[in-house]
Amino acid sequence: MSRSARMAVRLWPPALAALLVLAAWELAVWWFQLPDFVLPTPQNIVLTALQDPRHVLDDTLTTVAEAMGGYLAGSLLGLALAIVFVVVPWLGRAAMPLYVTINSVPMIAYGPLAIIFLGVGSASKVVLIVVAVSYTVLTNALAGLRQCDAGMISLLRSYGASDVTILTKLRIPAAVPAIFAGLRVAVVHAMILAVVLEMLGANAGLGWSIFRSTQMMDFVQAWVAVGASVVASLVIYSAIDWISRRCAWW
Amino acid sequence: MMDRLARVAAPAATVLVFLLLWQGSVDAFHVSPDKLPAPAAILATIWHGRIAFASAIGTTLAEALIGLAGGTLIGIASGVLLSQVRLLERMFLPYLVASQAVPIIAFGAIIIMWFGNGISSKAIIAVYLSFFPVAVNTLAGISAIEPSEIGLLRSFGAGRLAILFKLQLPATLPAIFTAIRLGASLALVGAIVGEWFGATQGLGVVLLTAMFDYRVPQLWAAIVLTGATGTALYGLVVLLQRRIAWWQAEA
Repeated sequence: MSRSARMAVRLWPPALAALLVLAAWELAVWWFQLPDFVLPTPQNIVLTALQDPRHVLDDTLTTVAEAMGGYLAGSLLGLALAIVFVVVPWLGRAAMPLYVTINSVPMIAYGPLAIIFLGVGSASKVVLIVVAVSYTVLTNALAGLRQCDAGMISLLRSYGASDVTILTKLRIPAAVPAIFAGLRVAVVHAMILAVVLEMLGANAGLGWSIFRSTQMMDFVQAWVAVGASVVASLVIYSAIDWISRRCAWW
Repeated sequence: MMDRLARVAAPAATVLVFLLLWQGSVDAFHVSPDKLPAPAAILATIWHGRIAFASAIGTTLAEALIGLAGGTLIGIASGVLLSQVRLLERMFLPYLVASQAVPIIAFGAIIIMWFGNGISSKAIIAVYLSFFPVAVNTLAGISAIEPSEIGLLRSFGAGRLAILFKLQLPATLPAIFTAIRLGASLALVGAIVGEWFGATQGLGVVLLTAMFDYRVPQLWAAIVLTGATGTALYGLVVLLQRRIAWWQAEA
């Protein structure tokens, strides 16, 4: 079977599911004469988004910027800490319990505190995303860095390899799959946190748009913002997934 | 036993030292509790407001528990259904997987608009948040079972139902419980976020009003109690796992 034929065989069932759900949705709205504030039709949601595309786009960009800013900084922080904790084990033993304790509270509970001290702007969101993302990346990277086989380490050492060589030639390459698993989970956390924290208080962004529309009972606008957050997350997740497949081809 | 004690004692000691440092520096530099309350002040705030806090925890915990129970049941049922009907699996599995990459909690706002500000809307949010991981893991667990094991049972004359209840579901329990543990924290977050949309009772409300009134000690108390509630919920699931899936060595 050719590649495209295999693709078609794999794709038709989910496409059929989407079609059935959309049809049932439109049909239900039409049959029960549901007004927009109960359930707007998919068509209506897309049309509303297209009426004022700048509006949705601006909100999406704000949320994505917060999520990605926090994600990048948090990933780098998590990776750096993981390497430090492996090279200097006592530092890891001292710091990890605190990190675990801080993260045993759902990150959203710190939201009000962040808003009091950092304001309703993007800073409060980015800081909490950095904390959450760095924790996820750190724990995954630590697990990856530690899992490598003691036999291989002593083999390299018997050839006279230094700790740095062992780290760069063995431990880090061996940890790459675990690190990318962490990076994939963390990007979802980043988007969720950005949206949820904006619901708590913000002056722009998709979460803020969702919150405001529910307060004004503007159902169609709420659906537009929710839909935009779903689409943006899928795009970002696919991008990270694609990059991780490229980098960890083995 | 000593080994386990040592594993717990060292991190606990680190946290304790950190708390003492925190307490010491707040006392030494006379930091205002509105900037950073000391651990003792946070405990005092909790004790002082214990009745109100207890009722807030009760509300949020009820929402999360009802939601988690509902989401688990629907999730297992859906996972089983998809595992038995190949076409349904091929139709809906991609969406179940995609749901894990998307802030589905955002739909909570729409649930609130539909179902109002009572306990039920938060429970529904917790239902669908915990549903997805449970459904995915149930399906993945059942699919991972060796066909030869199923063949063996079938050769003894076992029907589909017998295979499901004697082999597939028991073998999938560990994966299901992993998902329920994840679902427990999702359910709690869902309940709290749901309470931000105009509820009058619950931990989310306590967090929100403390923010609006700039009451920092109150806020820290709510943060600590939210963490404690989450830990308790998680512990409850682990306990249940030991009861129900007792044959499986606990990690």
